[in-house]
Amino acid sequence: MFWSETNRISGKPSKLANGFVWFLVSGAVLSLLVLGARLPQQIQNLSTVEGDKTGWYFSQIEASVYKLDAIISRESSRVQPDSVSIRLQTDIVLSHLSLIKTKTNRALFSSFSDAGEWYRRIEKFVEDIVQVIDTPGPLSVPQVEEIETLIGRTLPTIRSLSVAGFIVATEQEEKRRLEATGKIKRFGLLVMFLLLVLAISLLYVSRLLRLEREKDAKLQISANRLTATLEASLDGVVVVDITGKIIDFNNAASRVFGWTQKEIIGKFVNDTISPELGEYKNWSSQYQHLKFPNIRQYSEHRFESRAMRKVGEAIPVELTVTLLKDTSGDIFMIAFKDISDHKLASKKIKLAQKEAERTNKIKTQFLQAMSHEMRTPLAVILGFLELLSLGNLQKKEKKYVNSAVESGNMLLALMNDALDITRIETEDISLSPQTFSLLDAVNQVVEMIEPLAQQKGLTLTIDRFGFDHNCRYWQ
Amino acid sequence: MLVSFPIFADTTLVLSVDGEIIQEYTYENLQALPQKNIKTHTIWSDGVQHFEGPTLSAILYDAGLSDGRTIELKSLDDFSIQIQGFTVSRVYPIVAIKHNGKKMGVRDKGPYRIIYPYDLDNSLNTETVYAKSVAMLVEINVLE
Repeated sequence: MFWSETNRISGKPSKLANGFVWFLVSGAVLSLLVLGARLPQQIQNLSTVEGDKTGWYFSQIEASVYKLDAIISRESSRVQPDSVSIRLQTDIVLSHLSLIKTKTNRALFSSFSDAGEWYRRIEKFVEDIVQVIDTPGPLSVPQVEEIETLIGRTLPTIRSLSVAGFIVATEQEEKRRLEATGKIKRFGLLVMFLLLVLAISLLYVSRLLRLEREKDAKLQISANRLTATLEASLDGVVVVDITGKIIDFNNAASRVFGWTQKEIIGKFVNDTISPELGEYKNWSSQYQHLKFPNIRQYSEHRFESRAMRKVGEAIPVELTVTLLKDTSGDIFMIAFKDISDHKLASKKIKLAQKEAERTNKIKTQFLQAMSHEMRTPLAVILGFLELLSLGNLQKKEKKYVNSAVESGNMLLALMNDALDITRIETEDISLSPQTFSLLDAVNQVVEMIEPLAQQKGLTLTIDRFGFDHNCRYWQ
Repeated sequence: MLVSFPIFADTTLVLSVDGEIIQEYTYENLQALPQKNIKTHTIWSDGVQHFEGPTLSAILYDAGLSDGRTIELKSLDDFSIQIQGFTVSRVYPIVAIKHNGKKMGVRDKGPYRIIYPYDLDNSLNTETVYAKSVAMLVEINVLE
C-alpha cells in the first residue's frame, strides 16, 4: 500500500516537556535508590549502641554485690571461710564497678545531684574492700565480717545508683525510640513525596502518550487521505529517499512508466525512470538549491524533463519535487505529469499562429502595394483637374471641377488612410502634428455631399456655433 | 589500687561440646596459637584499647571442630550467650588474653574476653555484638 508507514510524517513531542519529565522521574528514582541504599545504614545507626545497656550493667553491679553479700553471709558463719570464693566474687564486683568510672557513664548521672556522693562512697568501698581481700593468705572471720560491714554500708548507695542507672537507661531508650520514630517519619514522608513526584510524572507521561496516540490516529487518517489522494492522482508519484532510492510508487506511476511497485521499489530513480535527473549522492543537500543541469526549470521546484518508460520509450514530463520531513530523515516526493498531449497541442497552436501571421502579412503587403499603385493615376487625375480649374470655366463648370478635385482628394485621403492602417499593422507609422481648419474640413465635406442632399430634396446646413478657425486636432 | 593484686588462680579456658569438656586451654596454650591484635574503642573504657589473643575461630579450628555449630560463651559471673552458625573462617572475634599488653585478672574482666574490632564497621557497634563480647570468659561450649 502506498504510504503505509504513517509514522514517517508524525511530529515529534515536545522535547522540553519530555526532558522535564525524564528529569523528574530520574531524580525521584535516583533519590529512592539513594534513600534505599542509605536505609540499611540508618537502621543500623538506630540499633547502634551508644551507652550499651546501661540499666542492665547497673543491675549486674547490684546483683554481683548481692551475690557477694550472700557468700559473705554464708562464709562468715564458718570457722574457715572460703577465701577463694570470696575473693573471686569480690573481683567480679570490682570488675563490674570499674564500669561506672568511664566518662560516658559518669556523664549519664550528671543530672543526679547525689551522684558525686555515690561515686565517692563507692570509691571508698572499693578502696576498703581491696585492702581487705588483697592481704596475703586465707581470709579470717573478722576480715569477712569487715567485708560484710562494708557491703552493708554501701548497698543502699549501689541500690540508688542501680535505680538511677535504670532511670537513665529508660530515658535513653525513650530518646532513641523518639529519634528512631522521627527518622522513620521523615523517611516515610520523603518516600511519599518522591512517590508522589513519580506518580505525577507517570500521569504526565501517560497524558503525553495519550496525546501521542491521538496525534498518531489523526496522522493515520491524514495519511490514509493522502494515500487515497495520491492513488487517485492521475500524475505518477514517486517517493525517494535522500540517496534517490525509490521507496514508494503509486498506481498512476505504474500506468505511466510500466513498472510494478514490486519491481521498482529499491531501485534508483535516475537509473530507471528519470535518467535526466542525474546522479545525486545526497538529494537532501541538493534540495536547498535544486538544480538539474540537463533539464528545463519552470520554478524553484518545477522542471520539464523527459522520463523513460520501462520499454525504453522517452516521454516528456513535468516534474514537481517536494521535500517531506520524515522522522527518519528527509524524503522527496516527485510528481511526474505526462505532457505528451500538451506538447502536441502546443505545437499545433504554434503552427496555426505562424500561418495566420503569414496570411496577414500577405494581406498587408497587398494593401500597401494596391494603395501605392492607385495613388499614381489618382495624382495624375488630380493634376489635370487642377490644370482644368485654372482655365476659363463657367461658374457651374468650375464648381463641377472643384467637386471632382475634392472627391479625388477624398479618395486620395482614403487611400492614405488605408496605407496608414497597413503601416500601423506593420508598425511602420510615424505621427507628426499639423495645423488645419476644422471649419474648412467641414465645408469640404458639405460641398462634397451637398449635391446628394439636393437630389433627395434635403436641406444641408452647418451650425457654425462654437467653431473656431484656430481649432487644431491631431491627425 | 583496684588492680594491685589481680587473681590469676583459675586461668583455664574450657572448650566443651554439649557440656562435655574436650580440651582445656591454659594461658600458655592460648598464647601458642596465632595471635591477632585489635586496637579499638570500647564502651567499657575511655580511649583506644589494645587487645591481643587468638581468634575464636583459631581455637575451634585447633580443636578440630567444623563449621555451622552454635557456640555458647560462658563467663565467670554466670553470663552466657550463643552465637549461631559460627564458621571457623571468621577473622573475629578474638579471645583476648592481653589488654594493653598485660594479662587480665578477674577485676579487669579477665582472664579472657571476647573482643570485636568495634571501630572497624558500624555494624559491629551494636547491642547484639556487645552482648556477644563476653567478659570474664571461662568456657566455650559447642552445641551440636
